[in-house]
This record gives sequence, structure tokens and C-alpha cells, in this order.
Amino acid sequence: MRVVLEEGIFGPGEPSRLDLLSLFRLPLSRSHTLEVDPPDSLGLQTWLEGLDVRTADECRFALELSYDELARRPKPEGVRVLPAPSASWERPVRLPLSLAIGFLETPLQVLVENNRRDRSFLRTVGFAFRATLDRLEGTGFQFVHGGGLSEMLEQVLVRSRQPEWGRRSFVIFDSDAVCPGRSGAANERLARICAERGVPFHRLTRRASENYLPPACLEQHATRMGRPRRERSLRTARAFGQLLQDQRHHYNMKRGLDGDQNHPDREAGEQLFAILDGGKRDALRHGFGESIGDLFEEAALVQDYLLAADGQGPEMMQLFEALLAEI
Amino acid sequence: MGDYLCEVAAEQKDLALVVETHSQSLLLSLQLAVMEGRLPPEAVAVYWIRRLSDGRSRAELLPLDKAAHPVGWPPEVFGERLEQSRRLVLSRRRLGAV
Repeated sequence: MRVVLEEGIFGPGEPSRLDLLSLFRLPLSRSHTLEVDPPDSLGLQTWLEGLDVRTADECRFALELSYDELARRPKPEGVRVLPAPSASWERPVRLPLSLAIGFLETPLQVLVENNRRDRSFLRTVGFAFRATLDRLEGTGFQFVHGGGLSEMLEQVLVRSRQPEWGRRSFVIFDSDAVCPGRSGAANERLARICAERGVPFHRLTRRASENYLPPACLEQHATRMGRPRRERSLRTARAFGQLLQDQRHHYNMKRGLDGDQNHPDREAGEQLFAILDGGKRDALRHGFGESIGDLFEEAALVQDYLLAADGQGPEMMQLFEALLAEI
Repeated sequence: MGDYLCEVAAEQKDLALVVETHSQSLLLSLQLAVMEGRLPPEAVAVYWIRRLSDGRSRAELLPLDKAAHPVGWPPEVFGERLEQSRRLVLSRRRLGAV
């Protein structure tokens, strides 16, 4: 998170040296960036001169680390630390030093629908960010199991009642859309509540995380099965690979076309697949099964060049830039 | 060098300069030139060449945003030196070494 220190906190009578030093250690021990407003603050210089040489050097290094990262990474201002007695939790959050330290030491809670599966999904599709995610998991952020949409909504409502938690959360969820732009009422409600409460979120543009599995992976997965499942799965995978992009992105991966027969948005979904011929429709009736998302745990199968060719890069870049800015 | 390239690019609009570099300083020069109005952002295209697991390389366009950040910059790139320094400082602190 991008942290801006107002010059006033370095003034006489302001918080203890130890509190300020804790803040300067954040870029070293966490992933926050730190800067001072104004950058050439006389108060900062005076404060640094009052420290022993080694500690002052560490503080300058914390600022150097931060400026280096900010040169390349867009990060909206997350927290402003100022000499004020009370907090304001509107973005950017404005906090007195006494509250800022505890807030910034709390790892970001990344609320996902299924902790294990979504972790694998994000580590796989975010291959360009994987090393950073692995480095930051635990101290910088934690995955939190959200459950289904209604449970996630409940968690967001509870969290946003405590502003310090609402501001250290990031929500990721499926769009559940049977065709582009048709996410359904519960899904829209979750997105709206997140936006209204200032909780950052990313709603996948495709229907579900499984829709990010490249067709070649599904086909390869099918070839590993025993007969007679192999023939049926291969047929499904090949038919899936021949779909138009929107169809692939909104196909019911687990239960197939038949799985949407009782869907409230059934007609919109049917329209998307109306042009399919009988053979393809038949091949796509049953989907790939409930556990198809487990393929994201197989790094040897879901390889980076297949993901890159699938065209999901721009969305993932947007997702991970937003996530890293909050961590 | 960075300033010179920006100057040439700004003056000779029909000239395409292709520069292969690992220089952080050159990238910063380009960013500064854009922010200081010496070079229009649309005159710059930053590409990151990524090697994928099938052995092929892919050029990813990282457009400069309005604050001259190359959007989508791989997080670990150019951070190695400072990351090593950061770990060194933390190790020294943990061991109580000056």
C-alpha cells in the first residue's frame, strides 16, 4: 500500500521516535511504499539528523526502496499519516501514527470463493506475478475462504462495518454470467456492495475461474483418462476449443449446456449457443465435471505459453496491478 | 544517453528508434521525458520480452499511463538490487550486526 507521511508528524511534541521508526521499517519488512509530503521536508531532515547514522541510513533506504518501486508501479495513495487525533476511513485513509502502524501491519485479506482452488487459479494465471505473490503471501496478504456468493456478501457486509478491515480486504469472485454482461442479481449485488463500501474487488470477466483453462489443457487432460471416459472427454474438449470466444468464456465448464436448463438466465445463455450444430451441442451437453478447476494445481499441464495464447493477459494484468497496489 | 534519444525522437518524428536495453536508468529517462513534456507518451512503446516455457519469447506491450508508469511491469524486474539490499539490512538487524 502506498503510504504518505505528512511533514507535521516529524514536528516537536509529535509521536515517539520508536513509533516513527516502526513506520520506516514497513517498506523493509512488508511491501508498503513510504514517501514524505513534501518530499524535501525540512522536518524529515531534522528528524533524521537526530538519529544515529545507521538508523538514519536505514530510514533513507526505506524511502529509496519506495521511490524505486513507485517509479514503475502505479499505486494510488492508500494511507496518509498525519498529526491528527482521529482517523478518517474514506479513501485515501487518513490516520494518526498510533493507528497507522497496526493498520499497515495487518496483511491484506484476499477474500475468494474457494481458498484452495482459487489460490491455485491465481498463482497459475498470474504466472508473471507468481514470484511476487509467493514472496508476499503470509506477511503481505492472506487468502480467506469466502464460500458461495451469499456468504461472501455477508463477509463483505460484516467487514465493511469495521472500516479498518474493510480497507484491508480485496474481493475476487466469478462473474457467473451465462453470456457477456449477465451476472445475475446476487452477483450484481455483491459488486455493488463492494463498490459502495469502498472494498476493492475484481469480478472475473469470464463466467468462472475454470473458463480460464486453455482448450489445449482440457484436451491434454482428456487424453490421460481411461476409456470410455477418454473418448467422451476428448469430444467435449475439442468441441469446446472450436467455440467462439464469448461462448468459451461463458460455457458452464462443470455441468455443460444441460447444467443451465434451470438457470434463471437460461434464455440468454441459450441464445449465445444457438448457432451450435447438433454434433457440437451434443458433445458439450455435460461439461468437464465438478473438479475440473483442480487442473490449476497441475503446473506441468497449465503452462504459461498456453495461458498467454488464450488472451487472458490484459485482464490478469489489471487484476494483479490492483491487488499489488493494495498489499 | 536517455535524454539524447528522447531529444532525437521528439525532433525527428518520422524516425523510429528501437533500443534493446536492460538499463533502468534509460527507462527512467524516458519516463521523466514524458512527465516533463519533452516527449509525448504516445511516442514511446515499452515492450517486455518474456521467455515462455515452450522456449519461445513473447513481446508484451507495456503502455505508459498518464503518470508514465509502464503498466504491467513485471514486479521482480529491476528490483533485484534493492531486494538484495533489503534482505541484507533485515539480516543485519536480525543478527544485531552493525
